[in-house]
Amino acid sequence: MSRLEPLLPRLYRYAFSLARNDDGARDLVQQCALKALTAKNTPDADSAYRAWLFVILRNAFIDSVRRKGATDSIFDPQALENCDEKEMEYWGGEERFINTLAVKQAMGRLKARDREIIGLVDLAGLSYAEAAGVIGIPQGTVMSRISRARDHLLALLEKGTVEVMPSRRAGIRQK
Amino acid sequence: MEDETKNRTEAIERINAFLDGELDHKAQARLMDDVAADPALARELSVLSRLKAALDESVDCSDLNLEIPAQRKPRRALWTSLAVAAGLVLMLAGGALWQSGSSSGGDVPIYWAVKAHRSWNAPYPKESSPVLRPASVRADAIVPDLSANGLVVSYVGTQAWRQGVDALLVGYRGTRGCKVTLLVLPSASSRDLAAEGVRFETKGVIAAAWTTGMLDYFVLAESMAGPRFRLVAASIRKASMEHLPFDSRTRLALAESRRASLPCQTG
Repeated sequence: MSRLEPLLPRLYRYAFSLARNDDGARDLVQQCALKALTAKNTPDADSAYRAWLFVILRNAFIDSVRRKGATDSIFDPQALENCDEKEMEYWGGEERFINTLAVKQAMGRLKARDREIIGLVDLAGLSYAEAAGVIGIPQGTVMSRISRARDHLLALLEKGTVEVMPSRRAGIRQK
Repeated sequence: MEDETKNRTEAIERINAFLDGELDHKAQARLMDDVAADPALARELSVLSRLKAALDESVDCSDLNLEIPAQRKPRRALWTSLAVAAGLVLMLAGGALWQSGSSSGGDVPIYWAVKAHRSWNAPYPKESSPVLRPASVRADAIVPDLSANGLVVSYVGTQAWRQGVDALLVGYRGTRGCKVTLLVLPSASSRDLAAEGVRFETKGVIAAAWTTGMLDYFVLAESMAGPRFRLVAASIRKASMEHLPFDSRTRLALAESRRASLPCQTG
């Protein structure tokens, strides 16, 4: 349990990117923890153990998607084939639209494949090599995939309407 | 045209890899040269840095309480308990004025500031709070946007100083247990702060304080990594002196500092 506990927040953040809600994320983490705690053999090295946990969680998600028969899954071959490979552009929106609320909303609208890579790299903090190991793709593919995922997220933000006023001098009102 | 498109895609991928800590020193240096020479690249770097910070804040783990079988709360290490009980006070930069009974006969704002820091406990917010300024605090008080460092405003209030004088108290929260307090009040000679500022540490709280001449600022945090806190404090101090929001270089440094730091420990 002592090896697992420090990784729970990162596992949760990855699970949230997959499940898109707190209940689903908690459920995935608990399934992952149960499998890890009851496994007969576990990897010795910390890095291998960490990767192993993320793979368990990913597989738990895929199993749940298959059971529900849902679409837009990371395992949906159609979703993978029809991925958008248009060239990336520099973002032309206003930076104030990039805020936590807007990003939360936009993440919910991203395709599963984009959410997953963002979940692994940005939310769980895995390196490209670690993320590649979890998904089972080359490390170079991780670099292009994370770039495209963020590009897609920015495109959604540009169309979004959520705006939170930051705290600055101009935002201060006199009591 | 095709080369231009390919170069742009490759540049954006390099920026993303840089922000993820995946470039070696040579590649980083090459990217920084390219960014310095191309405003469009510099902006893209700023945009993606901001996006990473917002993504990091988008999933809150501060109060997870996952029900895992055989989960136990970790015991606090004995040395930590002793250090807290001892109430260690360290002078990190000048200022005998901070101790009680100083030769100047001045106040002891260190304890007042720490009390203010401990007085609020709002969690990471669902939405941003408006910042209301007490009448005694000048209109040019700086309340910085610390989102690049993963901190958002979660509490706004006042802390009484003397009769008729209130300090503006702004509480920031991060998603990894960080709690930062900003106090702003009219400058007073009895407090005897310097523009260069002082830093102090007591009972697990680290703090920095300075004066702009018209306003005194205090920034406090608990269990935040030292380099990260020093950068946050220095950035706020600079903004308070120049009356300008953070530039993109500062925002990037704040984002990198957070990324490179361990999460703050909650008490």
